[in-house]
Amino acid sequence: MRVSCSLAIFLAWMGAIVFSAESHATNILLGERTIIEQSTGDEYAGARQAVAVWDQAATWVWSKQREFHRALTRELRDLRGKDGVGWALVLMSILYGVLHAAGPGHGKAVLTTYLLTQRSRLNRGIAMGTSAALLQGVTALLLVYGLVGMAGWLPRETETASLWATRVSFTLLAIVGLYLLARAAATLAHSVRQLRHETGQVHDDHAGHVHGDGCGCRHLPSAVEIDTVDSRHAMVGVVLAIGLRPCSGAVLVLILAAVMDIIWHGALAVMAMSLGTAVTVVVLAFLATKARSWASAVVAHRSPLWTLVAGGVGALGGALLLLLGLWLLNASFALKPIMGL
Amino acid sequence: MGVRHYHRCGMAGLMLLLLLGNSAPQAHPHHWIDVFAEWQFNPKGLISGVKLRWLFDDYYSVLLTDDAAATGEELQAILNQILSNTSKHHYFIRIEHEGGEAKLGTPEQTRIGMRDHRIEIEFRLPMTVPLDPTKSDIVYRVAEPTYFVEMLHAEEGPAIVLKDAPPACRYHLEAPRPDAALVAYAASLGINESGGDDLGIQFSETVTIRCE
Repeated sequence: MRVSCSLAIFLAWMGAIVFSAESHATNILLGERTIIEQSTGDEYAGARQAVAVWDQAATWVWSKQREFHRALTRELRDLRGKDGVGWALVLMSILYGVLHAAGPGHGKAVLTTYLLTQRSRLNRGIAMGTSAALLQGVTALLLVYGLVGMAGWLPRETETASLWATRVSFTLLAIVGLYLLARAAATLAHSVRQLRHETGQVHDDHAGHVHGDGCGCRHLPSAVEIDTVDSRHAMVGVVLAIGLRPCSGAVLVLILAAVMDIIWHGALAVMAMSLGTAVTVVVLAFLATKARSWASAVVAHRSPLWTLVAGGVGALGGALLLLLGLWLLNASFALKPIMGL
Repeated sequence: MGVRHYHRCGMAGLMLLLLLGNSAPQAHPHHWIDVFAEWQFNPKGLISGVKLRWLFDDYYSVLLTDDAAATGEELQAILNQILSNTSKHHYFIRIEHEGGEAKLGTPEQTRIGMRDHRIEIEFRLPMTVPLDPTKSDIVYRVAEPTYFVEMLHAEEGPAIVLKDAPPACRYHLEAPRPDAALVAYAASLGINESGGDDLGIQFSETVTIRCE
């Protein structure tokens, strides 16, 4: 039952990736109309059939985000040439961060896929989410202020730099996916060997373990097992893959702040955004880790095949991250300089 | 146990639903333009043309002019490009009158400048044949077809002016009311994607001018 649940979720996930895999760039206003793939009526019909509740939620987040973009711009405009902390801007940025993270996004997709498919402890998941959110803010700060403020780049060029940072992040994501896939495959191969061994009722190599009756010689992973050097590498990879991609809202605020000569207001606003994002991401990390441990705890007691299933899920997660990274990378290259001119 | 199982399963599913699709901050629209329209009536009470003023958002302005301090020559180049590109799309305005679409001449009195660090362009579109508002309502919509840029009438100031209109003339602005599925679709579109050339119009305001 748990397995079917996880499977259904993964299928939905895959479906979503396929559903949104449409690439076709355009900007009529200033030319550079680059059609990569014609969008068809079918996608449109598909969108219309989407679940009503999901539509409502997306609509709400969308309209809020739209309002936020306008409000942030307005606040920045009002702060031009003023002293003191713009508390309204800071508060708005925190809220924007919370909401921004509640909406769909690549960072959350990556983190949740990782936490749902890989064994990890709760505090690790929370630490990953927090550091990724904060790193995102720092990346945006370094990128925009470093390039515009110090190196004297033009705002438009910063957008290009931001695109390259995004590509690095997607590449890293693909590498992490590949790494997890390879690791899961190795574990899986090992489990298969062991399972075959155990069905032969040979228990010689278990001398050092104590087993309860009928436990099927399976145990849940201990904290030590989870916290391997391997998994720490993967975690750092995931955090970097998320954090190296600056959030577009932060870039917007920082570029405006740089041009308006209110860089401190901009920096404060972006750190507030990161804080808000971290709040939501931590909740998400908590849910993902819990969901996984609920599923694994029950299946582990019922099925001696759990190691196989866990290995399979781990491999699937790695494959998903790999595909996601490659797909996003590909889409980012299809992108032409949007501003045309 | 069964109920709890479904509860948890539902929770996990809901969570993933929240993650689906592309980044919301990348969703359409990415920029916006505040629109001002001045409908010019001739002494006979016919509409001879419309003067449109577009005020670009701060961020778009910065990206287009590099640091919102462009020289007149650079601005002129931007204006020329915008007019040349939008000419293939009716200058982003559709005017219905007497069951058909009003024919527009080429833009005149064009101007570009910076207002409060935002790009502002202005141009007048003459009607090839002046429109008689007493014969039928005049209904118009302003939209960037792909909805990459959102175009709405400005909130501040009189965004719609009926200049030299007979006293019996009124206008009515109807806010856009896109359905939820359409919004979800627009929200799913990344910065490099397009939902086609008829998306923008579905998020546009509808303005009716009536002279009784």
